[in-house]
Amino acid sequence: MATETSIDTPIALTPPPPVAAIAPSQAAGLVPLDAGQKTKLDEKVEGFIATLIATDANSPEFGKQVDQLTNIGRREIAEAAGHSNRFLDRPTKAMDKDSNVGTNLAELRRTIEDLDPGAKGNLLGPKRLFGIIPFGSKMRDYFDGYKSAQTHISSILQHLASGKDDLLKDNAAIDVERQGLWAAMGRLEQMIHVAKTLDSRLEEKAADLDATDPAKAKAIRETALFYVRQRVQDLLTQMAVTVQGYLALDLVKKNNVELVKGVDRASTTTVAALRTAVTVAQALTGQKMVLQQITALNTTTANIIDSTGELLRTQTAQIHQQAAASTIPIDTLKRAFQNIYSTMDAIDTFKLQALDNMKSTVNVLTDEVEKSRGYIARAEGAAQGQISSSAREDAFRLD
Amino acid sequence: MAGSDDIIEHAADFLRRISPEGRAASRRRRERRAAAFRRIAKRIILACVAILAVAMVAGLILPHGIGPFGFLAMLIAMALAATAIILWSAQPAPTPERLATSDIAALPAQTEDWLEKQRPALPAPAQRQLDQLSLSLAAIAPQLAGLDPKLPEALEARRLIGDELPELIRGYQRVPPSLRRQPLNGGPSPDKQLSEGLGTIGEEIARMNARLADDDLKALATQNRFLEIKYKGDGEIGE
Repeated sequence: MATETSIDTPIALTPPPPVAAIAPSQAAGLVPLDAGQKTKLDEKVEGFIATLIATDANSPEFGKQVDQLTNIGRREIAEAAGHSNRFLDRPTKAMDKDSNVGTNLAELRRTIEDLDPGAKGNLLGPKRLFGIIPFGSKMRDYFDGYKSAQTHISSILQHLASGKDDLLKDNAAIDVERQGLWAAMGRLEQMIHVAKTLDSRLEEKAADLDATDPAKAKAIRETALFYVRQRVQDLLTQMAVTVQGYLALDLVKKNNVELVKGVDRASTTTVAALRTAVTVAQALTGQKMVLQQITALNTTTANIIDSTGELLRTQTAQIHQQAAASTIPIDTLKRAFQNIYSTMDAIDTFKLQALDNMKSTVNVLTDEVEKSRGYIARAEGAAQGQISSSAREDAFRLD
Repeated sequence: MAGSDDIIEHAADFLRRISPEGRAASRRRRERRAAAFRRIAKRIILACVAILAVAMVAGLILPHGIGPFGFLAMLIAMALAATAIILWSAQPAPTPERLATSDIAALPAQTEDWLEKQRPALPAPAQRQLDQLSLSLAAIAPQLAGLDPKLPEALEARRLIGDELPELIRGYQRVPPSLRRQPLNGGPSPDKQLSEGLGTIGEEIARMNARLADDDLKALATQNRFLEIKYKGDGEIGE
């Protein structure tokens, strides 16, 4: 924003592309685990396998250990699922917030259209009573319109500023949410590592035992290995949904950033047009038009919009020069209005595209969350079955 | 044999009482009693002042004042009011049945009271866990107080504190004392099971506490982040 040298350059707002579904097989490995964590988890797996191999396959102890396998990452899945339940409504909420900003922009547009010098016919001609008798000046009446509109414009711009604050707050919430989500993904990743290591190690052990203790090899394959594979699938499914939610949140955030840019620019161009009007009025009618609200607004806008505030300051001299020097100052004013229109058009186009992308992202995400809920319900059902056996120990608990 | 057991139990009990948790628990019990006393005292004083005011107004309105009998009536009214307030304020001892129906805000304190009553019937190792439990109950109480009782979190808390915890302890108490130390079918003994169960409940209360605080923690982090974005420019979180 600050790199743009003139507010005459049309603004470009690019909606971020929609987030596509992520296959569970691609989900693992997105959050890196460090070597230390891996070694620690591998040690746990080795310890568990050693105990499992040493236990009689028909004893209740063996059953208990297998039960632990069905519970790998239960807590992590529940935690990540809790997150996805929370953020599912965030894109929808974001769309509502857009509409709030949108109402104010539409209102601004209506007010600006009333002031547009292009729609007023020939302002330079004399005003005639009943079309015959010369009476007053059209130009003077036109500029009087600013005085009555200034309060309204000022209040719209204040609303836009608070709408912008809402968008920023939304982004702050998204940042916090994403931080939590990242941590949850890290824990899921650890559990995926545990489950996958268990899978390959159990497979090896079962192959080793085939020769010496076929009964135990069979028990391991049919119970332990079976549950571990199921668990790997559950974990990967949850991971895919979580990653997708993480990306969807980023999409909402980027959308908000673009929209904030648009709001900034709409405010800046409006203020610039009003300032131009003041200068043009001076040049054309010699009338010293004082728009107090707008003068006040200059300061507030400059404060609200840091980057563009600087821009506005440097533009002042330029506008003044153009309007005073130009033989057709009314064109300068028309151009200033054109700037507002093109900004608003850019915002409208952006919002249409962004809404589409957002909708498709929400749809994909909702589908995936529904799918993963099926898995989780099954996993919860399995867990409920054994919760009665008082304090269940959890061999793969993360610290 | 029984002698040495007794000695060990006494020593454990003594250690528990001088442990930080034990002292904190007894301090809270004292504070709660003091608070209840203050509450009753305040009500009695208010009632007496009100009766006095009525008597004074009556004295002003009636042609000959309220007279000695009126004064006596006033004193009697004050005594009756005080007795009524004391009787009315005395809370019935909590029972598991009452816990199940009590207000979610009052539940932690009532469960704590109930646990305190059960203390003599529980083995020495569980005593220390009871102290920890009452600490975590005290920690979660303010959060539960502000919770809508219809929310799933509130229902979950009620089930855990008002139902599952008393059920565990009563289940233990139903086991004949002579069998409590014997392992069951090679598994853990009832004593051990009680201790494990209390441990699980303690962890669950702590987790619930963290989960209930989650929203407030997030709101604070969000506000902080918002201020950062707005006034310091957009940077990645944690920078």
